[in-house]
Amino acid sequence: MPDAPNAQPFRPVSFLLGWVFPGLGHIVAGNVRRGLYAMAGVLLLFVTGIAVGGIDCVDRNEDRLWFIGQAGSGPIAFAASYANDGLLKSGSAAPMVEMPSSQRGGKVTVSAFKSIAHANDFGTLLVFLAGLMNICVMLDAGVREPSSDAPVSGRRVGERKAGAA
Amino acid sequence: MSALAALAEVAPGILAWKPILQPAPGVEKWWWLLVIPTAVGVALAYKSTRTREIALLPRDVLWMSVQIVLAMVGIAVFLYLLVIVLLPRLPVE
Repeated sequence: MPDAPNAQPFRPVSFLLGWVFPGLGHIVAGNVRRGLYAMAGVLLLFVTGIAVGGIDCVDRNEDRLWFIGQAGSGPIAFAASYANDGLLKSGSAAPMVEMPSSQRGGKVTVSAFKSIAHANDFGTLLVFLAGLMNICVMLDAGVREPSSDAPVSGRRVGERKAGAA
Repeated sequence: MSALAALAEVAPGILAWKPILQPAPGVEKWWWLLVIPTAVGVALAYKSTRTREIALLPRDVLWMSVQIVLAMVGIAVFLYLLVIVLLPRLPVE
């Protein structure tokens, strides 16, 4: 509906700021409370995932498909992946141990802090969900009217007043 | 006494846990509780983009979280009845 009276142009800066840090696109555009709520939601998922699975559940090399979604969280996902490389895979945070490998038919050397089973499954999934939800938040930041948290306005393209036919 | 025994069983793992670096201890025993932070996080992020009146957002988040958790419990009950109760009763050729 490009001709709708309340149509808003797409704002790429707000969209990109939403990727730099969750909720930042809304905050910079003046929708501070909305941005803080969005930030809280995305970070709750991200931090819970990291707490449950450890930073090993964000791995841009071994879990590339998962990481594509996780990268929606922005630089914090890349930071977690680099921390995984620097602290766990390098062996600086915990000793390296041998582990059976089904793919190579032998053994592989991994960090003693490597997450497996339920911890890795749910940690990876929660961080992935954080990335997907942040993409939704970024898209909303790109189309939402700036400083529109006031009760009367604050509608996006296509939204109508409450009670309108 | 049993609660104390359970706490004593988990306590050494919690005390030795290094958050962020190491997976949380005993996840295989309480993984199902993760549905609560998952539901709240998804509801919070989603409703922050969909709620028109920002003042109503906490109420909307609470209601959506409850809906998600109830839906997951309902699906779990349905699958339990299907797999554990119904399917074993089917005749085997």
